Amino acid sequence: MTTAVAMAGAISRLARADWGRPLLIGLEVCWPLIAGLVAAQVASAYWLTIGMGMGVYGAAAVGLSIMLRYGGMPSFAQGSFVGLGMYAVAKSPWGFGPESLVFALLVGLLAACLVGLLAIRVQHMQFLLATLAVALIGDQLVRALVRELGGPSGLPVPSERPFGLNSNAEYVLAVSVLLTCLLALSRLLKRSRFAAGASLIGHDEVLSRVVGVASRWTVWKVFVLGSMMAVAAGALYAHFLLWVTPHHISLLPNAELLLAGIIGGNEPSGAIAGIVLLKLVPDVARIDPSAQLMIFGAILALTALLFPHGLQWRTIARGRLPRLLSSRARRWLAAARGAAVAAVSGDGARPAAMAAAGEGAPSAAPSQRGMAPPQGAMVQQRGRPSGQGLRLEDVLIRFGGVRAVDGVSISLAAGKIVAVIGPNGAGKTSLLNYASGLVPGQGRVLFAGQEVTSSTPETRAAMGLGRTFQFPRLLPGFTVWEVVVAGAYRLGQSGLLAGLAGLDWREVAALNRAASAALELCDIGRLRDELVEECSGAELKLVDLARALAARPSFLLLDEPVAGTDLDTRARIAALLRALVQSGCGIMLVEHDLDFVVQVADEVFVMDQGRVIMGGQPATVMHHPEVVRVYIGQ
Amino acid sequence: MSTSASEALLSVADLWAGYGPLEIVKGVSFQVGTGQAVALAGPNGAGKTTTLMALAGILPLRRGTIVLDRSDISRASAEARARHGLCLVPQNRHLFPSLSVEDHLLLSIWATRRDQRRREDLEWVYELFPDLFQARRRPGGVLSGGQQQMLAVARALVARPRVLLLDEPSTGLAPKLVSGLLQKLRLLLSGGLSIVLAEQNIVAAAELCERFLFISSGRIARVMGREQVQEMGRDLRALFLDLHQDAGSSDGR
Repeated sequence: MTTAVAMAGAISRLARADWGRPLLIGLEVCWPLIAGLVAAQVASAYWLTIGMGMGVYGAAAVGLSIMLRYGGMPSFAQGSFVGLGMYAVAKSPWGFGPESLVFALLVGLLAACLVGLLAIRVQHMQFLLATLAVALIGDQLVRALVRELGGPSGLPVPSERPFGLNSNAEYVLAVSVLLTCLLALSRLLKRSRFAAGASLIGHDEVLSRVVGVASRWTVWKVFVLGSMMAVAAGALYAHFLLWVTPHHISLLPNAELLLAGIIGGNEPSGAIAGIVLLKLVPDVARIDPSAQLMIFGAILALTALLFPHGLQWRTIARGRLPRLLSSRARRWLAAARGAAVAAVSGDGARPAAMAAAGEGAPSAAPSQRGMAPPQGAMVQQRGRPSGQGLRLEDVLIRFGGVRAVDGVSISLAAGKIVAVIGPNGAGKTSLLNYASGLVPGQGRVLFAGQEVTSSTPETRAAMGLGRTFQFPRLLPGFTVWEVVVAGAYRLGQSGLLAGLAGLDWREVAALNRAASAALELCDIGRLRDELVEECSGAELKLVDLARALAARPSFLLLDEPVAGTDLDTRARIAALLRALVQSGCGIMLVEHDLDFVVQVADEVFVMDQGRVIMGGQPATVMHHPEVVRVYIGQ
Repeated sequence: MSTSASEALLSVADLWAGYGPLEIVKGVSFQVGTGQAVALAGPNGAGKTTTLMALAGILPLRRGTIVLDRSDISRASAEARARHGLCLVPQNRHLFPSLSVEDHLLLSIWATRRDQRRREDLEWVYELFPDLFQARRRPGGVLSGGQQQMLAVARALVARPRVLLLDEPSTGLAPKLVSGLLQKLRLLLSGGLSIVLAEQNIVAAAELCERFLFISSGRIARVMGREQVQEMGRDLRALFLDLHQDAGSSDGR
């Protein structure tokens, strides 16, 4: 394990070097091709057959890792799609060779589009169960149709091999080219605008909608893409094996793929490595195929025991292995490492390493932090459309029998900060949620001159309505940068296909610029590569604000923007918000810190028991006896 | 001002804690006597929350000892510490959205104690927080921010703690509720409860705590009494800037 950590450290050092990064990316994409080339030269016919199986299921595993990463879909039917591709080739009515490949892809596309509808309705564990049902149906269907499908021993594929591929070695080369292409595609996808938004979906649906990702259809597309990778691999496999058996559509390959996806920790290369491992272990140990399911179960149980949050290779590569282990495993490791540390006593090495990691990131000296308000010009340069106000009319929100908001009408002009204060339970957060489309209610919402009452949160976000949360939504495993870039999602239009083709690079550059600017505005450039769960509470507040600012919103809804922040940060946020409204952005904020409200707000509304009881200049409102009675006290 | 070792209820010595490769708390020591309240103050990211998490046993100690009422609980699990009387009210409250208010409270009683005074405890805590009695059948997910905070405190209280660890209890509370909550905590203090409070709202904290430990990059930088803090008033901002500078010179973060 120490060796693994040391290797991970060496890789992360390499990634930081100028020439190291392209080299690593090249290796990450091309390693199956290199492995295929070597295997074609040296491997025996037996090992070539094993290698072909690894390549085919590896391609399906890449598809699964994409589903896991962009939509959190643990599909149990990925192996069934491989089997479907194989049976479609065997039963192709259009002849064999390239035509049968086309036929298989079409059948697979139809099936993937239909099964993908499940992803629109269910998520996570329910999705796993739903796809398990699909796999069982596939399994039973093949058994029921056993006569039409060539009996229990399977169906022969007519021996016309397409594309002039004849030897086993040529097939292994073909599948390694396919794998490299799929890895290149997933690499392109990873840096696309589509991925920036879609990666949020499986983790936090509210957040993904608030940045403007129409989540349900997005996951459908991802499912279709991932399944088609399995179908294509299956079609190639049928031409190689020249034989399809019911085994190919049974539960075992499905379990194997899901396990590989979990071992791979949402990384395509990791998933391929998982398949290689799972195909090698039974072979090397000469385990009876019937015992394989049992072994897979044992590996799955062990993974769940040691890594309850799943394997995240990227986090491990940052030398954070202990965090991913269960607490007991962590204690063992800590004890072992404690002895090593005591021996070396290298306490002084860490700050230097951290300084090196932060090199190049804009970091203000601590003494200057909070002193210089952000430059108004810098905010303005961002070309925000101005003059877009928000209007809420006769809003009524009920939770069960409780009227959380009871007939509120507020008009909020652009270029102003309006604060909503009031006792807890007055309906302030509910009003923000209604305005951003997260809770249903009666009434009307007008934004930027349009009625958006029946629009989804993602439509409103795409129009430029941004918001932050009282408790910033935590995305374990994400870096600050990834969260903030996702915030900029609305600044582009390109989708999945453009991302796969790498055609959205202009938009991606614009997203990156917006995210960098937002990090600078909030003065958290130094946190860029930190994991979200390692930020302090107040840092998270700033990350959430930067995420909202990255979208260059024309109107911002802020839920307690300075709660839990120190005096220094508070002054900085106040200056930032003033600069934002000067450039034409409108802001509505809910806040209990009255000093802050007096400092920044142009107008204050007081809510109590779901109604607005008063509105006006901050200084006047604060001293009104009624406000003192219901809200301030004493 | 400081409590002598013999009468200290909670005694923390050279506490180190952090996340993965990050050391956050680097050798914090303090003592709290019975019926005393101590505030942890300081800039964001100084290590206040991490200190409380390590005290509650949610984060493992890297080094140091925690002694509660003469027994060493440094290696005890979070559950064991709660049963021992060291209860945390976390910053994000961590309520269960689908459990009712009363179920939250019952769960806490069942988890920490074996005695049968459930009814009494519920009545006591409802008396303390009448709002919760009104809302006792409502699920945690639909409570207002104030009710959620009350519930988080009440949940810790029904476990009959000897030391209550409070992480920014004023966050998200209306000023009137903040003073209401402080009033109740003062009542509990006079009944013999001890409190460790992490708080940004120094003015509010000064109503409760007699001792302030200002933490900066994981170490206690200053210790001040209540009067001293109250006298500083507006100068607190300058103090925080000083602490930021200290933090800047002692490590790069």
